[in-house]
Amino acid sequence: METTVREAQSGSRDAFVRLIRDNERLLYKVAAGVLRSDHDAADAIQDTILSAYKHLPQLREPRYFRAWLVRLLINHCKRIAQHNRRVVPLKEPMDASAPAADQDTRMMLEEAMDALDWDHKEVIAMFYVDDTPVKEIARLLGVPMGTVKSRLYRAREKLAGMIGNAEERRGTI
Amino acid sequence: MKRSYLRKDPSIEALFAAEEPPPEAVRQRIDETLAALPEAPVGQRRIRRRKARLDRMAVGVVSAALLVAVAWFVLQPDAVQATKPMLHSIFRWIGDQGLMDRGTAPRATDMQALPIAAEASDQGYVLRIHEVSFDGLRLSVSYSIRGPKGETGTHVTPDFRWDEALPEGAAALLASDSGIVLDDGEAGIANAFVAGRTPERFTGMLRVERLMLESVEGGVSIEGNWSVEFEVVRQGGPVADRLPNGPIAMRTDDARLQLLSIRSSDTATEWRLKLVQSYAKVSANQYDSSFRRSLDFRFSGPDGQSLAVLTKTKHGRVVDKTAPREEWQYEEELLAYTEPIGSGRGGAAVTTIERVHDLEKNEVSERELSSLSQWIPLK
Repeated sequence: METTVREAQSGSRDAFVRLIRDNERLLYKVAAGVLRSDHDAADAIQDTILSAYKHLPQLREPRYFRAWLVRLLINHCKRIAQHNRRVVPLKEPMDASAPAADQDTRMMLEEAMDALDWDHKEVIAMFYVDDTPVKEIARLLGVPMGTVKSRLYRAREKLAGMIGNAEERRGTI
Repeated sequence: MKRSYLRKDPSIEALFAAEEPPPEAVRQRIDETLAALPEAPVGQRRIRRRKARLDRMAVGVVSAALLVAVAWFVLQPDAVQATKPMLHSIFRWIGDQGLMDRGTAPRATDMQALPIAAEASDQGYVLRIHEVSFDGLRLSVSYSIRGPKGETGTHVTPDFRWDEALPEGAAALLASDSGIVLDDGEAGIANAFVAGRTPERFTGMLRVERLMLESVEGGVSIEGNWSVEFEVVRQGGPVADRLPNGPIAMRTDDARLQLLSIRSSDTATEWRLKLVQSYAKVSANQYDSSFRRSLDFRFSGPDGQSLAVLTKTKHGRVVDKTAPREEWQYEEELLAYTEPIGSGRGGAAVTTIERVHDLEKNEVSERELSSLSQWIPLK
């Protein structure tokens, strides 16, 4: 993949297309998981492709292309999610602010991920894609390594809390 | 407890393990986006120059040549146009199937040539509403917003407020906004899905008091007044209830699904569903360390074609907490808007997909739940 990234950075449109083709499942998985709408996911992916094509030369480490791509995608998902307002309740609103006992029935890990704030979502996504090292995540985000570590730790804590103290139950999260 | 931020949880890891190909609508958008890419973006030309390690004179020659090329490029409208999508209508450009026929006539090839239904400017940013579509179920506007030059690559997205866009008696159930970045701004489509009776013609107002500026580096918002009024004329056929005999019930041993209603118009279809499952089973799903299970719904039209979900939401609760905990039922009401189902006779289908993630094998499997899926004759 690194060779293809370098070709794309050198101006090969075909190489860039190959990179996107190779990663379109990942793009869809992340975008659909975060946005929960194929239409919104398509928007986010489209914007990500355009951004990636434009900013690819700024990627210093080709081996972390996927993490970089996911970071772009998460930023676009964030923008779209912020504008997708679902503000008006149904005619017969159900209890959207249900007590904790009900909320924990939204047990799917995807939904717990949904509830993370964007800083945490971003760092978790990058960390889990291709074993991107903390140092590289810090460089890609432009923040100190300590910030990445603390975000990772807090994201784990939040996820653990949301999916039922899974850390204690499974030893890790 | 040791802080171990480097340990990885297989269940989270699986979220980023992509097994499924994108659905057809998403793949099509990817195809179109890739097909529209220019040969080599400006940034990549910069890289090529850097890597060539030309000596100073060669750099000078190349720079001069580039200057000439850039000047030629700027001065040649045809060349500039060749790098832009041929834009006839924002609805047609980035809209879904429901808006494809709602675009303006294919006479414009440039944003500047699109019709302007309303316009407002403040602080150097100009918001224009180009196209308005309303058929009683879905109100959509296409817009562009352009800012001061030099913001290439930045999303400039209006913070639309829909509350005054509809006449009294109608309510926006869900709203969505999607856009695409332009050279110096953004084009997009904003939607509201509507309940209640509306007149054939009314003046809609979108309050816009904030713009979000987002680039790869981050985002800020600016305050101002870009509120716009525009005429809304209802077009197309009626909004029709399509279930001939009221709600349809489906069930398995441990779940009940009701299709409460289907309403359709020329541009969208509204699906209301209610899913009731045992709370114990839902909770067990959370705490079992070996798997995760979820249900999802797919919708298709008379010819079996998959209908893209435009937006959706759900609310859930335990129905009766006075009952013993082991008898609790967890009820979710789902509201989804998809592409139009068409007005002709025939049927539609709701398909329930059970997705099980085996955390130990790190595998995800899907299967159709036939007991919670049904083909529905439409009236």
